[in-house]
Amino acid sequence: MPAGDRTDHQQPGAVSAPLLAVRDLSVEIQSEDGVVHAVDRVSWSVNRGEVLGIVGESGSGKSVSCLSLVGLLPQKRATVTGSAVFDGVDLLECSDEQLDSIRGGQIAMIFQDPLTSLHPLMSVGAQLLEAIKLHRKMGKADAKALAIEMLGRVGIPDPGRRMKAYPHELSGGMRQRVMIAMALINDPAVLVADEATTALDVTTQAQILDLLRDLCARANSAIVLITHDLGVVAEICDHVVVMYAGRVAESGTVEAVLERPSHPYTWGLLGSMPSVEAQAARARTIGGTPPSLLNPPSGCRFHPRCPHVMDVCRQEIPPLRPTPDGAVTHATACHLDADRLRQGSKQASVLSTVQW
Amino acid sequence: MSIGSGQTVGIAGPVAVDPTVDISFRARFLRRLLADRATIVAAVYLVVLLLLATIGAPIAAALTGHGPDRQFFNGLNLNGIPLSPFSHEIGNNGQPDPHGAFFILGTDRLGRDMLVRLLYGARATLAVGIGATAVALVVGLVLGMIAGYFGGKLDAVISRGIETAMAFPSMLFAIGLAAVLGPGLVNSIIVIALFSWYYPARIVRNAVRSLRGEQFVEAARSIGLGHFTIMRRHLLPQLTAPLIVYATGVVALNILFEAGLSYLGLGVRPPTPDWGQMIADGVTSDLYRQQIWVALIPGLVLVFTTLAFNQLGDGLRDAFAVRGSIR
Amino acid sequence: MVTAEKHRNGTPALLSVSGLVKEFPVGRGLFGTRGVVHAVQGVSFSLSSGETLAVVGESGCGKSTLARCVLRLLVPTAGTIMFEGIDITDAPTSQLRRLRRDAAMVFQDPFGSLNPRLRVASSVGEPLREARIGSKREIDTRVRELFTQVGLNPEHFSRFPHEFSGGQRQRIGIARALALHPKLLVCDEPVSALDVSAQAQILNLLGDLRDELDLSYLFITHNLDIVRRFCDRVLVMYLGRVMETATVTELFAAPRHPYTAALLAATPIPNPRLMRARGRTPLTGDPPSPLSPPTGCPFHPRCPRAQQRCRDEVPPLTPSGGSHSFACHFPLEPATTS
Repeated sequence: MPAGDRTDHQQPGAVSAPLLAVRDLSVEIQSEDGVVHAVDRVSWSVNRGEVLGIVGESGSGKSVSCLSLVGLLPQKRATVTGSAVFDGVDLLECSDEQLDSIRGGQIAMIFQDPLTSLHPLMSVGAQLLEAIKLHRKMGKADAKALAIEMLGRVGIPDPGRRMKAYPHELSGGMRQRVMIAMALINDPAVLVADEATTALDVTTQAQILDLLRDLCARANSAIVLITHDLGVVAEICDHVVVMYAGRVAESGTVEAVLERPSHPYTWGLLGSMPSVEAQAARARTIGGTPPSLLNPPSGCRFHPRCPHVMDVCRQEIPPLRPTPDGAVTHATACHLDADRLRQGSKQASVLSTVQW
Repeated sequence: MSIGSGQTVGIAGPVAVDPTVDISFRARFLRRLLADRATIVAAVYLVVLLLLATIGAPIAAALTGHGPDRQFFNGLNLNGIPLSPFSHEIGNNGQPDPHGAFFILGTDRLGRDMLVRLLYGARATLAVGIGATAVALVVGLVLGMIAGYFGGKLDAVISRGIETAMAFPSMLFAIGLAAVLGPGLVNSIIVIALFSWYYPARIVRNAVRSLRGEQFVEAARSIGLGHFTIMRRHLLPQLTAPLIVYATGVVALNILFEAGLSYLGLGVRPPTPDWGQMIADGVTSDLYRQQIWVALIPGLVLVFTTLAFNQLGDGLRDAFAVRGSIR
Repeated sequence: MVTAEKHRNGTPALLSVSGLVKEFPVGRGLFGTRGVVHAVQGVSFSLSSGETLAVVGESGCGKSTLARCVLRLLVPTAGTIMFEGIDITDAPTSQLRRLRRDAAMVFQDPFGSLNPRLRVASSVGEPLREARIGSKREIDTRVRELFTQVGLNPEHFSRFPHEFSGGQRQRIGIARALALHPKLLVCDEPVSALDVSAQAQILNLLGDLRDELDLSYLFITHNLDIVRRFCDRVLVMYLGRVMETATVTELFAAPRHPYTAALLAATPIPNPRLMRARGRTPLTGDPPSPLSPPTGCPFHPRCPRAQQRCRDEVPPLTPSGGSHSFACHFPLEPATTS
């Protein structure tokens, strides 16, 4: 299902209605200094078997939006509006008990730092068993067998013995595998990975990404991958949503967005990435700094840093509309006309990446 | 139209500081503190108490004409029981004499003016309580800093020292020590400091240990700063907040400690008034059964003062919760 | 790029490291230790004036330890470090004044590398005050000058670190490093903690400064993309040893060591077609711990080309024409890329 598309139209050959469809999601958080407009009317969706990447820098709202889906934001201070329909049920309307059963069961999350996400005083096996017990009825022996099998499937050698290990005895890559095992053990329909590989070495990251892709392909579940790294997106994602300052800047298939980028922010992001540049060239950077979300800029939130800013950008929020390249799901939130979008697109495209 | 000619688009010049967030540590701290009414009350109480102890006491003595040690023969009623608050001294006819001395808070078992004694007593209690805490802080700060910064054997020795000292039951040993040293203001301070230095030492040691690994300390080393300069310039300022918070709690403890010692006759020497002693006075020979105020008044004041210090500490801790300080 | 060739022959090395070893005792006895972390095991390299040398590796490879040894924040267990022709390996602190002036460090954490309680002007001016250079007014002027040089508004120099963004804080850190006109900057992952757009800005800044001030860089990073764009030569480390060293062109065109090839293969590029074409990574397992490094070649447990000899013998660093050296018994063929 295309991101940002309001109607439920079907693509030819696509699976039926999206598994998780987020519409007009907005999150406001009360802070000591005022209201932070963390997320503003964001819409995207993901189907079974697909990998959706949500890309943005810090302050883009990518993590906050996903935490809000499963009720992990501090309730007193966060106001969440919009809808998030998962398998026919609106998550934002669910009670706490309903969310408790969905979270960890049908929607599982893994986070960046497994050292703090795993209980330091419980063995790995005990934590896995706990995850099973919370969402299923299973005999102790069966549960233990399942846990061992899962550890093996995520690539942990000698899983029977590792069941008794404690998190601090394992390396970073192993701990992340344990987290994945815990997340996938109840066959979730959606796995949300929040910067899950950011803290890992690049060789470990590559293995973990392979693992995620394989396991979810086999189970036909969906992955929502939150990251700041466009390279990771290119590696395993099918669709991508680029977020800036709480809003969607651009969305579409990975090929469309990376080969024909159509938003000045995406151009800036790609220009900043060293691998897209020729050796020793100076990067085409985005000037300035990300805006404060206490007092976000009027109109398009990117306008203070945009080299193509026009008057209308300061006044009107650009709607998400189809890009000039004609790709079905490709949409951008920019006031620039089709010609200028095409021009910028050609210059920023990754098709010129030097191959190593 | 080109995206960029290799130039940075826009300078990273003027700090993109949101005016609504542009508040310094101090302003934020004050804002939080002033919003906390309980702490303001506690702070006001303590300030007033301090004023009363220092200048209020002699003023009260002068105004009433009663010194703290002056025993009024007529300050006891016919049965030898001290007078209640708001009483006049007893005249020759056995009735309160409206032209005689007036005791706002009554008298104690020797016929002395309770109010004046209370105010003078505040001096001893506060002096010892705060004094001992100050000494303990300095000792604890130095030892904790050395242990936390240098680590290794030095840390091992000092930490074992802290743990050993903490294992001793302080009150028992303090009594023993005070009995050996004898009563007196300075002795009290020494004894109490000896049994409270390890609290700040531990806190400082842990804080310094974690700060030691911070990159700004490494940066200071890379510039070539010496160890003690780093301790003074980079570490000490970060410790003031937790130390202040901690100090208020320790003062509360030490005031009680001092009152306890005085209660047992091991604190300041009589006839110097002291709250602990006054409580002891009001309790001996079951005096409280006949005149409860002699014990109750200093007791209540002691409780409120301790509460006030604790509340102040809590309030300061909340107000100090600032980014970038010690976790 | 150009500077490396210019200074290649004849100029004495600015920095020369030979056989550097650094070990840390570890473990908890009551007063003793149990075990040794072999952070750096015999690293040698040299850095010419005006050159940018990258030290690349994953966690546990010892690159950060190496950087700290070079600046004498740590004392090496063995080996020699010569800076500007002077042996600084064991020199007492009092004799390191010249080192402190001519070499400075830029740290990784923009949030932790500045004392949050000090105004940024104080932090930046600290090296000057410590070296007792200049009056208060002169120091102020120099600090303002540094601010402008790194692209910050000098009017803001009396603010506190938390009022700046991550990228700006890193600029402040750079300003501090430049205070005493150093010749060498040791940068320990200077952009890893920043957003992508800030990374690019800081790298541009470092590049500009390099040209303006004729600086040399020892650039520690785990990001090969940055190495390719910013550095002249590369040193690839794994578990405390050098696996390969070459110019950037040589390394990226034809890596000889299997680990280098694996690193290149694992680094994601934002080009979906290239990424799909790459396929799966051949590397299995996690980097081992420097507490108990494997025998022989440290990479052999994960190497797809490992043989018995790799378990038994530590491969020496063998030069192969010009500036390219590698430490492998069965290196990749020059024409092969992964």
